[in-house]
Amino acid sequence: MLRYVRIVARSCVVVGGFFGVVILPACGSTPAREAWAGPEVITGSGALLTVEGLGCPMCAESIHVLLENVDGVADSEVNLETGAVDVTFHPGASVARSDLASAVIDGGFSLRGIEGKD
Amino acid sequence: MSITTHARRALLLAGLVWACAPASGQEANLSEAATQPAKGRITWREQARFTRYELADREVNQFVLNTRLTLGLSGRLSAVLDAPVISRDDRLDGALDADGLGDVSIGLKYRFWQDDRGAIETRRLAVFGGVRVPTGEPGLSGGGVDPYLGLVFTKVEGRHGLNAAVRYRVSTDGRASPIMPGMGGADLLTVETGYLYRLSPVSYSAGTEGSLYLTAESLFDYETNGDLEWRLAPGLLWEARRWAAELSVVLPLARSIDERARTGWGMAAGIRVLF
Repeated sequence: MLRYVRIVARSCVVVGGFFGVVILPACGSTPAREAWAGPEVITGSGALLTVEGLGCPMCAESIHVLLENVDGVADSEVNLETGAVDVTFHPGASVARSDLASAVIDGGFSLRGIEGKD
Repeated sequence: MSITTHARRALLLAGLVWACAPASGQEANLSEAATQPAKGRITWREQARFTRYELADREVNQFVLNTRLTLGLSGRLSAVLDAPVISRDDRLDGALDADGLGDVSIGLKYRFWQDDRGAIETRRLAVFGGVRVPTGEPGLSGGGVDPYLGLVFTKVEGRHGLNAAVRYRVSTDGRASPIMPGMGGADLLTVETGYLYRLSPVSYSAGTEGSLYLTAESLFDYETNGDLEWRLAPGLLWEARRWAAELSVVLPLARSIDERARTGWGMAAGIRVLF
């Protein structure tokens, strides 16, 4: 029994100390889906999204595939360096902002802005 | 290599300091990361690992083909399955030869904190846990249902990436003469750090199809019976949009082993495919 108490105590110290060092300087939040909720739709040729939290080519592919699954979206192009995502709609399509936002957030990224294209 | 208790503690501290070293990501070849596939997507990772073990006057070569499937359940939660197929060759007299399916691990990873500060700038924390389920294969299975719990931090900033993870696995059974760490009756504490530097391209563009990374990983194992090992693993990672290829060499840096075989050098090569 004493052995397990020691094990638990040691692991708590190690885990707590380790992540205390990492977490303390940090401040921030997990991306909020609620910020993009609502019935507002975007019409026109497409939308420009500003995304943060990318890190690798697979990140770009994840967003690309998730956006392609949104009703009305025909194509998308992700610029990893700037976080700009150029989304092209099917002609005449109306796409809900919340659907575009969900695609980004379900990919594990943060959405900072959505603008409709003419 | 004989190390006193104080030296062991110093080594443990050094390993933790290394793990906590500030750096600025992506997923390295051998260490955990606070990243996961998007909701509904699957990552298939096939990794071949060669490791030389030394047990008294024996040299044991072990080849592991590990299959890892990761399913994105949501933007924050993923399920992970690890299934290693092991082939072990005892070069002295074949007494430790073994072939078959090693213990299978199933678990979950939940990213509970994320701070994105730019297009290529993110910090993430995830908790992960699960169980290692015994297959009962003679010589390859630990024999118990062993739960594990861990925390992992990932930071990506421009061309730099850091992953740091700590994991604790409780041993509920264990072999009498284990070869690998965590296969005996002692619990296993693992501290892993992976640093990645993007060699190419210097800057991303909309047309970027892949990236080449230099990786450097620190792998630290401490067992509650006092055994400890610290290994370094330099390597390369090529990551395209739907697949990645990885190659690492594993080098023993320091070790103090009494209860099992000592881990020598090794190599790991693998591929990952995003579905």
